[in-house]
Amino acid sequence: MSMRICLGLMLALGAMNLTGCAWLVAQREPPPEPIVVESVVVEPERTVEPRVPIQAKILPHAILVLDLEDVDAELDLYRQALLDADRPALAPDDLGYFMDVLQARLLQRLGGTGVDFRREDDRVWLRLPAGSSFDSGSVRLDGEMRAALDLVGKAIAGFDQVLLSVHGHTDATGPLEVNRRISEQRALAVARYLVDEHHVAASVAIVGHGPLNPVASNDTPEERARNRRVELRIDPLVR
Amino acid sequence: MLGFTLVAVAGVLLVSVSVAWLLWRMSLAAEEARAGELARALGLRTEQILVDARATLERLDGLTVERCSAEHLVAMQDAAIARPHIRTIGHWRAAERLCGLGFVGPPGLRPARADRIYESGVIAWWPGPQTEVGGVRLFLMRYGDHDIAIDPGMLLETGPVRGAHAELWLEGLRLASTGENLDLPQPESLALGLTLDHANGRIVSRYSHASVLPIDIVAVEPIGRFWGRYLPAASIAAVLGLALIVGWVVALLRYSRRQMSPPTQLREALAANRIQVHYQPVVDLRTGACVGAEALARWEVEPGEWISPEVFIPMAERSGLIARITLSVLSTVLRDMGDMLRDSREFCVNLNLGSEDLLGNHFAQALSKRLEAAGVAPQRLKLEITERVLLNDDDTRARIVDLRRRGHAVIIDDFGTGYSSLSYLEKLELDALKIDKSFVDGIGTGAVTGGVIGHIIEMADSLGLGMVAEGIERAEQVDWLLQRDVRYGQGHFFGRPLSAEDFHAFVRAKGIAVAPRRTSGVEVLSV
Repeated sequence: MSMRICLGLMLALGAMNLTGCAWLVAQREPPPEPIVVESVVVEPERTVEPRVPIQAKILPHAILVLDLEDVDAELDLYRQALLDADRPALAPDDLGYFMDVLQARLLQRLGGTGVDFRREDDRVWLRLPAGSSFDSGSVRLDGEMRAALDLVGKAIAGFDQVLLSVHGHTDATGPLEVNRRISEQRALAVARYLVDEHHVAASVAIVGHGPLNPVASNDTPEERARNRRVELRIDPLVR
Repeated sequence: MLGFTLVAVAGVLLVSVSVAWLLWRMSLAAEEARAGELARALGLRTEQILVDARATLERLDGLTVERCSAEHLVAMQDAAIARPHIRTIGHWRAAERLCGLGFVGPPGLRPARADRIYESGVIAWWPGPQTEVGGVRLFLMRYGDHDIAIDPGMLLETGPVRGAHAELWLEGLRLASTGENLDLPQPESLALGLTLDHANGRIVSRYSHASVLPIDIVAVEPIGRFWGRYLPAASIAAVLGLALIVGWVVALLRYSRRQMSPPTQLREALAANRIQVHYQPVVDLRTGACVGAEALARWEVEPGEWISPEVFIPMAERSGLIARITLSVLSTVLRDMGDMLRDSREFCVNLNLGSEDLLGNHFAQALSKRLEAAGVAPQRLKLEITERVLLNDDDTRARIVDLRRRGHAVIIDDFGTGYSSLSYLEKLELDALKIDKSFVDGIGTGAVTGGVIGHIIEMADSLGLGMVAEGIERAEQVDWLLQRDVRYGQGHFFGRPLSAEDFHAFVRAKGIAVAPRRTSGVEVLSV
């Protein structure tokens, strides 16, 4: 399994309460200089292309998942790293209560808003409304997108003992690498909006899927628009 | 009569069963109404508490005050203190209770699995081990960042089902119970209303209430307690009802008996042995000693209400019942007078025959058989036949001959009143004549009949027939008859027709003649 997570750095910073690991590491307070972190190859047998860093505001407690072969495995590793770094987490006995209450909260706040969510046991998927999409090639959050994210931000406020993974997607127009970068930037924009505007304190992972996981064919403009989307996944952190 | 009685009894039974059934159904209906009303009240109260809890949570969630500030705590305190069933109110961030008040400590209740998560965002945990605090299982409801714990036992304790074994179910899940391990059936397994659980000797009731939330109440009660509640009233109602029914049936029976045709009534009377026999003494005019009695049928329709033989004997003749009456009278005579008839060689009983008795030899055979069975000599039973009967035909005469041959004396009754050719007096061998009362009445009055009786006596004498005078009411009649050698008589002067008991008393007082007939001396034997 290959990792692009710089676990070493994360653990080193853990003691300094800079628990977030990653490629974009950080603190909110230091001046927003772009920090370029070399990817650490955890498993040497797999090598990865060096990536162009995203010029972005620094996100605390965030990583960028680069290996799309096994996203779940990478997220599991990250969750473990977060637990090792003493990020807020749930006692095992509280997991059921926490998920029930989270589900009820999402029903209360998101019911009828167009923000779609579904619970899969101890995991929740959120999908922004179909109408809120990115312009082709754009990473800008339009008004509709912001409104939907406002709802999500309020709904999940307080539910900090989770790993919030933000999954960006593009349509199939254009080169794969470009699209992947665009999808990362879309996810990052969403994550940044939630953190900046709603002070979401959860740990965050950014995943740029590019065009690899479409929800529609790419034959019509409408279908391509549906593919240009961001989905959010909430996994509780259990000690 | 028997059939009618059976029908009446069956009717009474049917009505009694119907009344019992009706009272049972009414008791059940009353219990259903009572329990249903209790359940409705309980359901309404439960619903009201839950709706109110939900509204309270929404209000707290909508407050704009700073969380866990003094103001916030006061708001929670005010909500709790006004609702005694609320045991705690808490404010939460996700799974962490930040502040709150009540009887549940700071960590708060965090059951692992919600029983209901509603579309509205309300989440509820039914009472169970995971909501148990100090042995009390709480009902927990959360909306947004606040939760409320309710003690559902308060519903049943203060509610209308106090003292019963009951369970309260909300949305198909048990919310409250008056005790542990009650072994009550689940609501879905029960029909609405009352169910009789004979196996366990109890009445199980289920009531549902569902205006906002589906609520079921299941309660059990021993059948004994159920009866304790309804038996007194039901018993009184049953007794009153049955008394009314019996009164009604009796009235109906009396009415219908009056409405019955006389022959039918007579038949019923015969079947019920209600034809009685009275005995009019026959005396020796010379001594005044009782030598016998004429058995007279009496029909007592109702106590104290008698029907005259002059009315019912002709009716019995017409409806072919006379043979039965004769046999009935015979049986009674043998029962009443058996001892005297066996013991005395003089004492005789006169039995009246009807024309039907002489139609075949059936009567003669039955008579002999019964006399034999009773050990009474045929000579002790004399047979009285009216002139009208003699008119009939030669067969009748043959029967009379047969009866005389069997040893019975045959007496012509009411002689001289019916149309009679008198020729039969020569053709038939007879034993005696009865001089009708109408002739005896004329004695000493100088009436025309006074002459007739003299001729009758002469004729009887010349034919060698004995004589019995009927309807003697005065001593001068006795003297007159004695002068003309009429030896026997009966009438009010000697004694009215008496019941068997009275007749025995009469005989004890007067004595009976025991000497054989036609001897000069008469011994009087006191019985």
